[in-house]
Amino acid sequence: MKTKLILLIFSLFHFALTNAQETAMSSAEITSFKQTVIAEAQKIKTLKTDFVQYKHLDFLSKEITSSGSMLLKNPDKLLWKYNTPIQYGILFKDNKVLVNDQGKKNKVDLGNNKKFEKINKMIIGSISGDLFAANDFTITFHKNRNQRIAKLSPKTKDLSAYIQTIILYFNDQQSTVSEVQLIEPSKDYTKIVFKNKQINHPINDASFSF
Amino acid sequence: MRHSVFSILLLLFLTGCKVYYPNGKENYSAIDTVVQNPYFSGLNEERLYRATIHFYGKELTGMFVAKRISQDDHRIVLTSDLGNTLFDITISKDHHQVNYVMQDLDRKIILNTLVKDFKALTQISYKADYQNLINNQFLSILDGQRYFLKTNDQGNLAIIEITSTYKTKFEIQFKPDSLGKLDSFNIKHHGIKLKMDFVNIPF
Repeated sequence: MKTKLILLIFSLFHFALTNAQETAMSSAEITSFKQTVIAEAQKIKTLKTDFVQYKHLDFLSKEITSSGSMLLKNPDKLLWKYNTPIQYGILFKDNKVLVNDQGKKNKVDLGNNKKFEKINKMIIGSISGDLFAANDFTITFHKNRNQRIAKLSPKTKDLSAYIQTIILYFNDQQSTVSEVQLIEPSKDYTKIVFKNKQINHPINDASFSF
Repeated sequence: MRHSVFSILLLLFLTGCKVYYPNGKENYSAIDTVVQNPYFSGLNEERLYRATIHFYGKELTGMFVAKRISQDDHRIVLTSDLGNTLFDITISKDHHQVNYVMQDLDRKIILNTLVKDFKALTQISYKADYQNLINNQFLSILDGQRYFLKTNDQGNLAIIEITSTYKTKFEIQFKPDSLGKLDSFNIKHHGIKLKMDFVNIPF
């Protein structure tokens, strides 16, 4: 009886372990995965998704949670909107950035905010898999039982001062990102989990305004 | 002769710079008591604030946490709304440690200002040397800095005004709720155009 119990615990533990265990992709798997993701990213005309953002700070007992939605219309419109804990939105449109902070609207000129633009593009580019095409990162590819995982490390000091690694998780056989983890040099991180993704559903231009 | 001219000029200069008292020096009398700053004194207590920083016409927003992590230390962190950490500093009474600061903010003058501001914000108690009964105000003199501490009608700390001998450097205003928990606060500088507003948000 005791042996059976030990075996059961062991097999459950083993199952949990193998489920979460990561292995490196083979070069054939990498080639096929990259091709699929880039090809799918190129097909994206519009993308609409809800998200939950978890900011992990090591000294806090829980994560700072925000949630909202994201609208993308290629090639140049993007709205990133938080609904909780505060109403806050960033709109990228016509090479300008507009911020709506709880009803207070500000225009941000991209020319003066190159770093701001770079960080945001990095976060946003990671959603559609666009970052694979960029030459700014060293990328390694992994997989576990349910996910395919890409780990991107910035090549330039400019970017690595802000982000140490970006981890993109692709659930099941999806070709767009399900979860992004942005790990900072201090090891604290921001995790963004996407849900209710809708690809190429019509989005009215008027949606890209405050 | 030259010596006496110098003495007269010095005397004129010194009498021209009046020692700063917000409510007239005559109203302050010596006292030996302690004024508590309860807002960030709870060990391991976690509250989240939405921060808006105004600096010479520019505005920066984000999430702010100040947590007492041990008997002597507070951890102070500001992140952007998108989540990336802007600064992360551990502050104690006699020293501080910058755990992380974003490149753009990594200037000695900025960090020194932040450390001074947040040290005053999180200092748990002030030993008061003088009291002004008319205005519920105390004066604490510590390491050459003067802290004018004003309490509200409920006896809670409402304002800390940090001054040199002659003028105000910055002030912190606290707005507690009916339970004494800090609803909002702001830090306003007088010599530089810097104002920081913080409003409590659910966590």
